[in-house]
Amino acid sequence: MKKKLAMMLGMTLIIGTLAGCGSTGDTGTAADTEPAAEQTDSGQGTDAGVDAATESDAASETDSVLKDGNMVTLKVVCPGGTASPGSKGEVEAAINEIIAPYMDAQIEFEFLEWGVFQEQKNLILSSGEDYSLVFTFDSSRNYAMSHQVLDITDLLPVYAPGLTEEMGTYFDACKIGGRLYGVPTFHEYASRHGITGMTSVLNELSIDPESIQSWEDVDAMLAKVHEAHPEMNCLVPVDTNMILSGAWSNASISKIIDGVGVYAEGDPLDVVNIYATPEYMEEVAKRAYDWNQKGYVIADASTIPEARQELLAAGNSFAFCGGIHPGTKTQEAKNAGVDVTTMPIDRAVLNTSSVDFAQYMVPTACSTPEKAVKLLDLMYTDPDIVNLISYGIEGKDYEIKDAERNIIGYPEGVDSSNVGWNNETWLVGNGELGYVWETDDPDIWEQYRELNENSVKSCIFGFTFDPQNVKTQVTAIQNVISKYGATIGCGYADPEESVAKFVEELEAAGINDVIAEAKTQIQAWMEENG
Amino acid sequence: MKNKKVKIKRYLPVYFMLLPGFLYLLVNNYIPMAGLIIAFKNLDFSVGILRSEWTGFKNFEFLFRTPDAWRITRNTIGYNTVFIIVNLVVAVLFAVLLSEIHSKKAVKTYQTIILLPYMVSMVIVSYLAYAFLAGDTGLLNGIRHSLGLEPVSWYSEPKYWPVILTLVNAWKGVGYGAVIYLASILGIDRSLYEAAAVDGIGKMQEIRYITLPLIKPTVITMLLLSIGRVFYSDFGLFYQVPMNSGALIDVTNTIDTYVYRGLIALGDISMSSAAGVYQSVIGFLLVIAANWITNKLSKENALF
Repeated sequence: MKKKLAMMLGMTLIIGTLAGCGSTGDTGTAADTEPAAEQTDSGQGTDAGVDAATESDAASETDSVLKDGNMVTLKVVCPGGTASPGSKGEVEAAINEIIAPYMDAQIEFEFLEWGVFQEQKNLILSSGEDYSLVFTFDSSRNYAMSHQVLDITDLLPVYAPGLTEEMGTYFDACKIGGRLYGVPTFHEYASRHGITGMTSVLNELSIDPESIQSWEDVDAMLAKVHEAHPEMNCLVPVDTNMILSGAWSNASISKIIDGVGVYAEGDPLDVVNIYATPEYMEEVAKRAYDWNQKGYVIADASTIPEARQELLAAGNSFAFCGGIHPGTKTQEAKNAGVDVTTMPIDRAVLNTSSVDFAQYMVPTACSTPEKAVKLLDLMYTDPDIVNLISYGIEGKDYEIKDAERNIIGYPEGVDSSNVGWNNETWLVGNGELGYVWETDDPDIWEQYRELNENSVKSCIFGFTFDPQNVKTQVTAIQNVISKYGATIGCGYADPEESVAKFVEELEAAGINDVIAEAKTQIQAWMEENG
Repeated sequence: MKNKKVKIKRYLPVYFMLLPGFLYLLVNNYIPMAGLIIAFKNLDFSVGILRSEWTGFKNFEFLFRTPDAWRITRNTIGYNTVFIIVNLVVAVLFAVLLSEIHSKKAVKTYQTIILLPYMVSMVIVSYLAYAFLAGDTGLLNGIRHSLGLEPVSWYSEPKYWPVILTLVNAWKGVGYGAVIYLASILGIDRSLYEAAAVDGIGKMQEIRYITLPLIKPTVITMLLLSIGRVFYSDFGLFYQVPMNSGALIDVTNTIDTYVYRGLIALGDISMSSAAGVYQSVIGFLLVIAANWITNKLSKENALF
């Protein structure tokens, strides 16, 4: 019997350990200590190199670093729809040809699918492996604070003068303690909140999208659609599982960290609990509840697992509320193959987070940060590289439709389902230099530039919050928000009652400590920046 | 002395066979334990783990200094206790029933069928559950509709979820336990049953006086192993299956989901390690305690 028991035990242990693999894997970072430590040394080396470069002849000095005869592979990590696009090899080869005269390096893309991007990117950054550029869409702040990425402030003017000239005005939004840990991609920084609906439904009910100018108009439009098509889901949630997410916060409140913000055009020191503001009550809680009561909202909106594109493409849904920019139409068409019309309502506000969320960073473990920065420079200044990264291979993945106006589209027989390369322009350094897709307005980039320059600049534009001292509270607040945010944002709860409970729990979670901390940091930031 | 040497020599090949497993455990499970120190540090990648600044127990604070601390601890322990009991009872029941089937082919088929859910990923399970529970297209509401009842919004009614989660967990986990108990039952000496048959006892008595007492050691071993994990919760079960529904958080938030929800924005490795350390230390202490109690009650069944 004992023997049997021993065998059983052995078996369960083995099965147990196998099952345990997954959870123990993440502690494996212990092994990285060494490469990370080495990296600091070489990092100091670069600083010295930069000093020398500025003193003597800059050009020849950078050349000696970039053309050192050592052919390195610059690995670039980006999110993408597929991990291995068909034209990957050809695009890399074409880019290699362009960068050869500038430096001894070759590019290698590593596309991570959207669903696993965050997790895999974090693994890459803590693995200590030699990657050159890593894209982030949740800012460089956390990575900079744990020093997972390099401070490239001094490398930029030397190895990326073109990029610095082009993007310098937006660098301020990405600075952390006055230093740069990444560079933002150029895209529409501000977006206007509004509603995006199926063109077919609008045409059928002869609704003029131009006439939808306020949220009251939206309400009337939804009523009309609901009346004509009671079986249709008028509203589907956006990615955060809310039918009304950031509308109010984009228009009037600049978020500092989840739950805390200031009025975009108010006093920067007047830090508020976002969920306790009258705007949240009126423009989110009450409106969502009203719409839900009227039957506009798809069933299970707060938990529905399908993305908005899938819901729209399925054909029984009309619209979603969310951020709108001049490229939204093309983006949705390319992603889901649906023809939508955008109806922006709120004005555009330029926040720190609207610029600094999408950045390219150089990981601490990068062995050749100079070459990585030079590659960045080319990604922001060389139109051929921009077109390759945006659209793939000419003649295969796209063809020129109108050479005069630089308009391109899919070649015969190619569409979003079988194209060998599909990238979103906001992932590509400076998409402005490239072609324009046929479904976009030919002057789309001017529209982007105009939107960026004409949007209301938040009173704390450029300020980045450091949660170090209030991490416990932030963790608790996140949990309270996941409890109430989507339920209220989809209109499943009585506004008066649920918002009161929401605010009460946020206060118990310590939101006032976070507000006080934010005030202190903004005060310091204001003194520093005059 | 000489005797010992001979013994070692004789068993050398056996020890040699042990080596890969031992190395695997060492590399995969023991060496990374050094990483525990991350939980007590403010991790800075530019200087590495060893040279990062010590912070004492600061990283652990977030698990206790929150109004949710009581709730997440209660949910974690409460659900696990229920899961352990339900899964144990149902698995033993299935094992006994399976052992009574004489057709080998039938046993294999049933065994495979009940083991299959154990192999399915929780994400897929969550969609299976969704097919039952969806508001407008779900099976349960379809049935309610045909019976003329009002549909239930399952994903916003916390009161149903303790039952739903227990059912899902049992559906998924019972097969694994049943297979182990079945193996244990099949190992029982058949002559015992033959002797009992000669004495003329009934089926129920046979199960009660022969089968159950003889699989007790296996049950206790399995129990001790699961007690070590009562502070862990199956993330997929508590996060994916309720579709991360806010309305259900009071009854679905456990230590693991709390840590995930809280740290997804901060991305603080030290704090998440602290949660892991907390869970393993408590689990370790519970195993020691449970084993100590077993030692007192029936010494021969204790693990160590």
